Amino acid sequence: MIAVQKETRVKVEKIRLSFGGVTVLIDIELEIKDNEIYAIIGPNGSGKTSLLNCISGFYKPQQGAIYYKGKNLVGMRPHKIAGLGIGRTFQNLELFTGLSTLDNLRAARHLFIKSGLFSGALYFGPAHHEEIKHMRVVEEIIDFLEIEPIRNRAVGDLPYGLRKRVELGRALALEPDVLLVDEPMAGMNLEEKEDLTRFLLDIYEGTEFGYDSEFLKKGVKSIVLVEHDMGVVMDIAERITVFDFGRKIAEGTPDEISGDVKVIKAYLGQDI
Amino acid sequence: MMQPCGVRNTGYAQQLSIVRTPLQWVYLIAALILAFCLPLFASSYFMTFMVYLGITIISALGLMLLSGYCGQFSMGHAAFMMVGAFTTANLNASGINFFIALILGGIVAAAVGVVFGLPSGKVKDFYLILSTLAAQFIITYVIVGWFKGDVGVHIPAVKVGNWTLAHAEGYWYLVLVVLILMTFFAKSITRTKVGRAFIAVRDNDIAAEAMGINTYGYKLLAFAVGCFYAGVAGGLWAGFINFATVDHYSLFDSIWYLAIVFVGGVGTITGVFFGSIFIRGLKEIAYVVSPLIGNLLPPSNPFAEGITLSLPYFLFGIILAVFIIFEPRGLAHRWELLKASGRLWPWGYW
Amino acid sequence: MEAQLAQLFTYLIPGISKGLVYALIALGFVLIYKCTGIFNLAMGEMMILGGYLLYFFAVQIGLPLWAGVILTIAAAAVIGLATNRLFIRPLIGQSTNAMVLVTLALASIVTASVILIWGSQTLYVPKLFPDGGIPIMGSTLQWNYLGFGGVSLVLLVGLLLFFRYSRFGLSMMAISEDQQSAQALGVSVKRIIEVAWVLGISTASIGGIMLTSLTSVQYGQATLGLIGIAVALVGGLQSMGGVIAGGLLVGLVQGLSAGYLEGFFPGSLQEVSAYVVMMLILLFRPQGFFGWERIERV
Repeated sequence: MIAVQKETRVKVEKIRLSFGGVTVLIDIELEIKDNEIYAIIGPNGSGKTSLLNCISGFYKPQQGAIYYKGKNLVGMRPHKIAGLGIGRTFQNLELFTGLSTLDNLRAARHLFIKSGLFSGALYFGPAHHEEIKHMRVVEEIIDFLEIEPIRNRAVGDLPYGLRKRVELGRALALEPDVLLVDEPMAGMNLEEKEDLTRFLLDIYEGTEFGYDSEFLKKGVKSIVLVEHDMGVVMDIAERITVFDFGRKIAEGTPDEISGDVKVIKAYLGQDI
Repeated sequence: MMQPCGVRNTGYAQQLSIVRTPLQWVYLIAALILAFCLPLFASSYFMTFMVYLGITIISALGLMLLSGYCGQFSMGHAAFMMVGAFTTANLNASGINFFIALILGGIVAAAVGVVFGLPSGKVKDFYLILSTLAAQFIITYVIVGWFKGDVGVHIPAVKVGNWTLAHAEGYWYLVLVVLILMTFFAKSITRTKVGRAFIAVRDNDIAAEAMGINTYGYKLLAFAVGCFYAGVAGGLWAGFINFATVDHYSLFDSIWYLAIVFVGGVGTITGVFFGSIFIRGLKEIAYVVSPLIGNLLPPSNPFAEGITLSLPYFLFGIILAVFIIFEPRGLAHRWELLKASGRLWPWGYW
Repeated sequence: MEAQLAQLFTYLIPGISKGLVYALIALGFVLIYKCTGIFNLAMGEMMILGGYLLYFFAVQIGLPLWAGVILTIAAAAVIGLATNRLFIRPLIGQSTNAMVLVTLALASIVTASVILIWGSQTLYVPKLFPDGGIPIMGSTLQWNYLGFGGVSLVLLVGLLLFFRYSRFGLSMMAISEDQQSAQALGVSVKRIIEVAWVLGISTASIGGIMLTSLTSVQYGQATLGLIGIAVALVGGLQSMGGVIAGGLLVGLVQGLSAGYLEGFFPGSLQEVSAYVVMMLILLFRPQGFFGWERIERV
């Protein structure tokens, strides 16, 4: 087997995060590479979502650095980090509940629309054209995720499974280079899980079906998946990291991890 | 939003448009014609009412953008109107053309608004309301102290070319033109990126940040835009009564404006119109009716004197409470329900 | 030197004692907020209602002053019960902004009722403390200010001890942290909200009795209640003990600015200075001196 050297996209260096007396992340170091689905697993409370929040900029670690595209993300405001190309979904679904599916996705096109307050107020002219252009992109995403029937429904009225897909679509609309997905399978039944996994893989690989948008065709080439469902993780992840009580205790391919004694003790809970 | 039966969108442009069917165009044009012809057959009293209504709508549009769309509730809106009024008055008095002074008044009000919006970076919801409350008092104090607020500043009658807009009939056209423009701007803002950013910040500012929206920047922008509208409205008012005083811009007035936004329907532009007409109309009725009631009672009755003064407060409190408890989505929502039931009666496919 | 110290006292004492009265109102506000999550902007109106009620009992009916005070507090409690049922209960669960607006509506209705019943002219209630005072440093430490400051302090400390150490107080603190867990433990949320509301209104009315007997009774004075809210903010909206610090600070600033800065700045500085303090706190330390920072969990 020839090991292909992949480029590092995000480099997390010695992150330490505490809230008051509680230390949530201790000396976390990992690299997220290009062209891979990278999974982070671990018991509840082990710090997985906190790490994602550090990368997205919602939490500020007391020590350490996170390098992406040559910049240190620690200390940057979240909207700037999103602007650099890191998209994300949330464990507890942070949708704009008053808006329709369409408007939720259009909100994510924010960074790509150049017209501002004044051209927006005048509307006819550049703003109008941009609105139409980005409407087209958003409609493609809706088509891609097969959520056309709920385009105009207020997101607050939708069932949980569909909301997750809207959240995914919204993250996609950002055209991210790195997509952070936080527990997408939580609360899904088997069929919904299979659907969502298929969509994740489609997002990863890109699709040749006649879409105009480049990012849908190319695919999002780095996906970080935080997940509890072992079946999904073992199936689609290329590399897995295991967290426990804020520390990284193992990293490797699915085969390596499922055989690792430390992981089994901490996570799967039994001695084999 | 429900479309009338048989109306389909055949293109993105149509999906985004405000006026969607030919019948809606007819309504719009008819309303505009009516508005322009109003002074021909309406009484002077009514025209004065309409001028005040128009100015109220302009100011309420700003507050709707700031509080309704962006979620930053402001209890100091009347104070920002005051800033516009006094800036316009002072600049006009020192020789600057009224219309330029009007726009400058709006800009200064916007700047002051941004200053009091600065805490929005660290604080949310109620704390921000407190900041605007402080704005109401601090601005009043500054204007009374340094800008002759208690005495007032006189403005000469507004001139357009050779016409002097001294009476309500003439001034109405000025207000109408400004109103139409600013409504269009407001509606356009809500349809485009900035408006969506406002709504995103209101609904979920964490998610908004994750979408690349600079929430702090947009909150300040909302303050700027909302207070610009307030400033222009204030300047127009000063031009109408030829005087800028602190009288019409008290805390209670700020709260009236908040009520207009809420009763009309948070997050809608039509709500501004509904709310303004409803509340202004009620106020007018209260002022007309209460002396009549007061006169009905014999003067010895202990309630006689109080009725006139207390009726506006009663009306305000009861209306607001009723709407909060029973119709928190406001008149605009009621109107949508009414339209929908109208379309569905008696059968949906008509 | 002596004269300057005397002058300092004449500015400080009224400021601090009024600050302590505001602290009482702030306590009512923080209490309501902590237990119910409601920001009650009607505190000022409830405050002057206390003054009007005292006028009613002590002047219009002519009862002795002590009876008037007791009846006023009782009447305020009853009004608290009624307003809770009418305005607050229907809104349990709605957004913060709706709650704030409903308290504004309530404030308006209280103002309207007050004007309707008592008219708009200024009324006077009998003084609670005799005139004159203790001579200190060449000026007089008036009984009024001493009395109000002292009574407020006693009430504040008493209430704080009650919440810290009594069983009822503790369960109120419990629901302020987490309504659902408290319910699971058998605490009746609706009842706690009612009690908190009534207590808050009653403390406001006590503050009103004191402030109005210092000056006069007039519905326009309701805006002073907002200073009580500013005090609550300065101390920290979650901290019941912080109101004392907030009251002292705001009272100090008000007293000193009214005294020393009057010459340099036009108009009445007293009210505005409180709002300037509030702005500064919002800009630089929004959690107040004793509140704690909320970290949002994503």
